[in-house]
Amino acid sequence: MAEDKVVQIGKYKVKVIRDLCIGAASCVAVSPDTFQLDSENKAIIKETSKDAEDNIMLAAQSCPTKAIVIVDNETGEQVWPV
Amino acid sequence: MKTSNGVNKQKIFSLKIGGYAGQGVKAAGLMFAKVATRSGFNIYDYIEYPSLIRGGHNVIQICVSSETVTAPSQKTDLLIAFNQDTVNKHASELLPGAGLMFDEADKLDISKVNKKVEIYRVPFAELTRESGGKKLMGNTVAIGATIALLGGDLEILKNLITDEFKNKGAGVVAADHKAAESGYNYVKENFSKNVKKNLALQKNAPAKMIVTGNEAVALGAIAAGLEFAAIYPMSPITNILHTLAAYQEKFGYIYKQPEDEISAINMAIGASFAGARSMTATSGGGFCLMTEGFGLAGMTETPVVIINGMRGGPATGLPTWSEQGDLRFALHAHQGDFPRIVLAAGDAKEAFDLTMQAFNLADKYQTPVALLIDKNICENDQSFPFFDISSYRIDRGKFITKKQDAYQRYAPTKDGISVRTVPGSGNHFIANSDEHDLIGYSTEEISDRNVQMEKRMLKLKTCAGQDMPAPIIFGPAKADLTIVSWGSNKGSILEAIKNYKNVNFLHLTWLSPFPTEVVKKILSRAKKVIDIEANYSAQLRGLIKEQTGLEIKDTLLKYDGRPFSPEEIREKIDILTKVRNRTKIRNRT
Amino acid sequence: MPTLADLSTPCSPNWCPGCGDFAIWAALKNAMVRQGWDNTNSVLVAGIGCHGHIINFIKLTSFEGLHGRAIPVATGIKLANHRLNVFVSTGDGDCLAEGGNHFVHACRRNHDLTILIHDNAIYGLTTGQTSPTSPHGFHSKSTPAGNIDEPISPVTLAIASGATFVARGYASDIPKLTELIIQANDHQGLSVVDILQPCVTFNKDYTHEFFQKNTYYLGNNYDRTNREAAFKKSLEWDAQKIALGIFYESNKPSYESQLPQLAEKPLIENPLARIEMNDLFKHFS
Repeated sequence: MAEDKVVQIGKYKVKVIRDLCIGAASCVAVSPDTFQLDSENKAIIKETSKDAEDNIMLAAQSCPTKAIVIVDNETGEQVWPV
Repeated sequence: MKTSNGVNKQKIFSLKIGGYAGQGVKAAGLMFAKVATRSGFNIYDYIEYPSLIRGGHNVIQICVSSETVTAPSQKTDLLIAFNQDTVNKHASELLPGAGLMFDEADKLDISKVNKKVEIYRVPFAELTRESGGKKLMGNTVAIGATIALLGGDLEILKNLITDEFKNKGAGVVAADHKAAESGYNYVKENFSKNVKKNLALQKNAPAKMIVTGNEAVALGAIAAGLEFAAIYPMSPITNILHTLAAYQEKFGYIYKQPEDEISAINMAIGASFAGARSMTATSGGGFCLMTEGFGLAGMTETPVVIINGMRGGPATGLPTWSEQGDLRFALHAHQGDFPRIVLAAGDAKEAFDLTMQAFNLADKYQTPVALLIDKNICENDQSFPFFDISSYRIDRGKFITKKQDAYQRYAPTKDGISVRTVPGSGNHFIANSDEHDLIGYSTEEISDRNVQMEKRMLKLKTCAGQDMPAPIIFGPAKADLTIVSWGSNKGSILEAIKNYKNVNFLHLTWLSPFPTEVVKKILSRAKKVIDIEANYSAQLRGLIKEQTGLEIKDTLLKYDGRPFSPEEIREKIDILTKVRNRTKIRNRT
Repeated sequence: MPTLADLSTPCSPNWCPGCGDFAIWAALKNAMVRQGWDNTNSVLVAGIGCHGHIINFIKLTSFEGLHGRAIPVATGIKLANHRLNVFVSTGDGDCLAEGGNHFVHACRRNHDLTILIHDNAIYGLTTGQTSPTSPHGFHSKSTPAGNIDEPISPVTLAIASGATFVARGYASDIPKLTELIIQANDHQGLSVVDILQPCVTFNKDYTHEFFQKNTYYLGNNYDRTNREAAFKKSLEWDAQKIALGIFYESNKPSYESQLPQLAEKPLIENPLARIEMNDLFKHFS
């Protein structure tokens, strides 16, 4: 299984754990610039996203299975899920 | 023919027509009433009927006088009986000199009728057949005969028939004319010596209109610029929707019949929210279903006018009879506190005026206005000079339809009223049944809640200060006895106190906000006070005690569905002013 | 034309993570951006339930009514100003239980409204009771021994009651739902979109996985104008046999299009002042 891709957006490194994603699409709803469902109803990250960090955080927090992982680039610390 | 109100100097002639439901008793009565007003007289009619479509005893009494008439009378000067029930139930009202008219072919037993009552046998059925009319035309023959007997003008009756039936085709009009003529001529030929002058043409009397309260409310709404009405059929207010439905295309408003009363008030609130002057109307039972919407209008500060035509309760109660049992209900309906304006009309003219004012008050204070009337007002006809709306100004209050920068729908203000707008204006706001902030977003914060609650309730105080009139006192300023009442008792009370120098009458039309100071001043100075109302628990008396601290000792209460008669009220006055000893008041049937 | 940013409000959604309401909210916003719906031409009426909070999260003039009473309010709005796009956001409990009578009659009258049912087959806001679309045998706090009621099929009820555009969507397919909402609003008449969505917190049967596994879109060979066929299709609810898409569409004239009072302009644009009343009063003399 390919490694889950990490995308750099602003000061966040964002990753979707594909196996956990159930296609609820609430992340797409909150931050359509950042997230989109692929043909297998799995969330993927759009590198072009310029969305504000706190909206990306909101999107991650709206995931039912905590499939979205956010690491703060400067501190290297995982800020979500806590 | 002696007039009935012996005590009262005013000459009032009382015609009563009775038959079973479906015999066109009401139509005949209205025809006679219109001939009377077109002859220059004033009328007041009173209709009694069971909640049935066929069978059951229907009776209409039309009181006619050159002065205004405002109440039914217990006496009957001329009784037209289409069936035996009418004779059995009303023979006792016929005093010597009164008249009884019926069709011999109906073989009515009139043995119980006072021997000194003039009997007029007029072959309604036969004359109808001869004039080629249908059975219902028997009424036209009877009215033709009555017009002849009372010295009325046949041409006025014939012109009326033309006006009323011209859309039914010339054939119908011609047959009806013949029926009227045949009845008229029959009396001229057979009872020429009995012909009276009660209906002799009154020269240059002003033109009059005859309306029921229901029609007056509908006309008032149209005059006020009504745009949307959602009304579910219910006795006794159904004729409001009939009248509104008939003229909607001519005046460009919409009458919609909803699936239930819950839908009715919510549709009206929706239309009002979108900017349309809206109303609904119902009776007590329907208002029960509207109580959640009542508060929704209060919470979202959406104007809406609600007419409650009261009838005997509780539950289905007395659907076609009158009562004033919804006062407390109207004052307290819905959970929680919100500013409600509750008005009550005393007759059809007040219903017309208060309906127009209700629309302005609802718009100005952005809150629901309930106008209470009752079956007596809803369904009894009264004649009035043509209503005059020239002084009425449509006032939409603080209301904008254009985009406004930094718009805040629920911003608190000095008088509690904020600027209202409509969807489509470009202004963003939410009318929210949840507690809400200045824009309308849902909130449960303490400060938002307190600010909005106080802002809403302040509007009632503002209304009391700016728009609530002082209640009217009829009769002398100084009196031995002050009658306090509200609603349709007004006509009977005014009729009753006409010849008393020491009795006055405080008539209340505003019940929320309540004119506490003025009522307190009047009642605390009054020598003796009596509360007259048509409900079991003396609800107005309770309201007055709650608002002013004053307890009214004497009451005259009724909950049998019938109106108070002037005679009944005079008996009570005589007892309270010691004219007569405290005999037990006979129970009026 | 609003952008997504124009539609944001100071309140961020408080739905449970993964709730279908997020996706419905996104689809409605997408449709607004694409069609140019905004405060100058559209209005949203919401009922009471988790769905109702949507009014706080979209910058669109709204009316949050009482539980079950959104549809009559929307009807009044449409009659007062029929140029507005009028959307009703309602729930399965709000619309089919408390508001059932209003739903049936709105369909029968074919008002030009767009009714979006957030159908999660449970009462979420009151923490998990059985709803009119919960299946027979469903266990919840109100039916611990299993639901004896048979569920209502909103699509079947809508078609039977006279609605002239009846569709079913799945919340998390945002692109397709966006399209359905646009088609529903473009339709002149009573449009119903029964939007299947999971209540991630209280309904463990109808989950995202359940819907993704068991729903399919009606193909192009499906004739949406055939009412009997639509009825038959609407009764199908089995494993892998839950249809999505437009079940029925007919262009029967809308209620508003049949009102002479609305022929030229919206009701609220009529002049209010009734100066000449005398000829009306004459009818009463």
